[in-house]
Amino acid sequence: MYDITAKNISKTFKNFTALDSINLNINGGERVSILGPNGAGKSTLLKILTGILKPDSGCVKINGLDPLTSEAKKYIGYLPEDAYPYPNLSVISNLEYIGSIRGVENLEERINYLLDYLEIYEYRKKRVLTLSRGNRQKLSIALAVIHNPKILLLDEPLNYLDIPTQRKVGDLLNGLNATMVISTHIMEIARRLSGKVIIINNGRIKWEGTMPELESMAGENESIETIVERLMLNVG
Amino acid sequence: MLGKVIKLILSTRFTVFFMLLIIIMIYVSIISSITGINFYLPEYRYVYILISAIFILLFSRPSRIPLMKSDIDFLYVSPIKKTDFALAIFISYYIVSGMMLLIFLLPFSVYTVSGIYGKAIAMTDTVIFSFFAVASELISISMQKYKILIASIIILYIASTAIFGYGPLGFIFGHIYSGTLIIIASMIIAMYFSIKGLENYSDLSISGKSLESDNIGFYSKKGCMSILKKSYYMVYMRGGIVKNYNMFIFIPPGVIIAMLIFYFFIKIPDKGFLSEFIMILFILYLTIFSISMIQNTFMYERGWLSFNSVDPAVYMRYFLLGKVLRYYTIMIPSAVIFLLEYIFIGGIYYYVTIIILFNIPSMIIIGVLVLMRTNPRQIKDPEFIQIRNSIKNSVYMVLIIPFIIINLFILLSFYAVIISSSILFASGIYILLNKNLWRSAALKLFERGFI
Repeated sequence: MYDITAKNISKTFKNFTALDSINLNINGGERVSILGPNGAGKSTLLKILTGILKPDSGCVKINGLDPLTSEAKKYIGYLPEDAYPYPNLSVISNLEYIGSIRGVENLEERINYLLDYLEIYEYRKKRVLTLSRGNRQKLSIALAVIHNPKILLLDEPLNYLDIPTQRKVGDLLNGLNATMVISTHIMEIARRLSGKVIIINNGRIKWEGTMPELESMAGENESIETIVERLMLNVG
Repeated sequence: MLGKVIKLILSTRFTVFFMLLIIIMIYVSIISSITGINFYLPEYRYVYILISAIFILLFSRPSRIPLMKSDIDFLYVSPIKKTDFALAIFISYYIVSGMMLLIFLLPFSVYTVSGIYGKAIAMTDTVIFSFFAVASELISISMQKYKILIASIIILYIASTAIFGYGPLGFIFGHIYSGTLIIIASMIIAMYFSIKGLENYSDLSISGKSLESDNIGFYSKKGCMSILKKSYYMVYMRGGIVKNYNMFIFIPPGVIIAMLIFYFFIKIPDKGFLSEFIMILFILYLTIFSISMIQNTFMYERGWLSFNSVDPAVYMRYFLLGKVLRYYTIMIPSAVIFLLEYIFIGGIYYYVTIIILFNIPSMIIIGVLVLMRTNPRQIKDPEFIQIRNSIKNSVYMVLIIPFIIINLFILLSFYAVIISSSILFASGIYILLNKNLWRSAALKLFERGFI
């Protein structure tokens, strides 16, 4: 059984087709990057996989379960783009609240570990609305992984992070040994966090394959970004 | 320059249609006042005070001066005189709260005094009073955590006229000259302090301030208890700061309202029509209060965190239950007062107790579900204060009408009370227990951009 299965997913918002007959089968432990330009349908796809959006047609299964159920939610850790945790709660209250709802065991220990690892311990009593974008992003990542999820769905996870922190967060995510789907439009992030790439544009899958396959397509005078751009547009 | 600043401030806050709506309502209010020119009903003085008290309490609630992010980023740092800026903000706030107050008060001002001359003075003084009320509201808001205390003192100052006759509302108690002088003086003083306060307002942006928060303590709590705790304690106000209060923060406003009701019923000589009128006003206030609760319930929620941690239907229902419990904490003193009125005076006062205990909580549950499925709104970034008033938002208040009709229908007879309260309460319980309704509501939320 696949960890994530999506069959014939389509989604339309008024007259705009965000996703058009998308099929996905992601194995346990696999790390997949969804690459595409702005408005390609990446975030919509992640929201459907999470269960917070319902597809117009098709179905999604998380470990064989409907993603809306509490059982499925135990497996999933989700980070939306530009995530903004509860702005008026302190950093630690955000973590306590979500950890408590999720029934995380040894919560205090887990919170201290994440605060310490992500270097936001000193801000633990600050309200989220007083944090910088970078620290807010670190907290959002901590909230997404607080329950050691088996499946991680991340939308632009390294936004607003400096380079050393990007590396640290990459190590944290890789260390979870979770099945990961990462939405990004930056090739370097895809390369750092995943082994498989799915390129989508205009709501359709344009190309999918492994990272080495993608890299092998690049010639001597052609960067991988150019290849990705060409694949997005389906030219040549 | 002042004209330009005012124009800019108003255009960023109001649509033309909204302004037109206000003008039409003022016109209707003036016409109503003129038609009542032959009536002299001095008991309406208490209604006048009650309406003023309700407005001042309601409009003193925002936790920050109503500034937009664009004001802070561009206008406040540009070389405009601080006084011009302050005046423009004052006027924009006056259009929302002052003019609404005026619309309600003008007709009553005419009833409270006799003679054409007295009525003309009362109407003029009511306009002056509306400026005093708005200035008071702005002073209260700028006092941050003392705002409810300041608003309560201002209400006591206004209500003191009912005891002494002389005071800021002396003009509706027959003291035309002294009343006029006192209200003009009060307005000048209040406006001076509110404009000065706006000029020196320092709480422009939340960012960068070392605002710390007490730890609420969700450790060792079961998930459902954490949801209830957060929903019950956290007070979200328009674009503002939230404090982690203990439950005693909700008791004083409830007791103040209950004491005011008690005082007015003792004071009113006629226990017939006027007491019923005050009951109707109270029901209207309750309905507005419940609509405000309905709109705010999920406005500050973070769906990607909460609805994604457990089944959204479970989360939403516990969260809503927390709000209903808070409502009971605030309103039970009033329910008790109306029951006591019934026991000691008689009449139909206990109908209001039934409305408080059964109808309004049911309406909150039903209303939240309807709102989630039709027009949900989310404050994504509390620094971006959404204070633009459009006719679309106002039309949405049409939701109030069926609620008001149901609640006023109850006053017809004992059977009406039993039937409407039973139906509402049963519907509320059914909705609260139905998981599927809330699951589909959660999906609708995200469909409309909630995250």
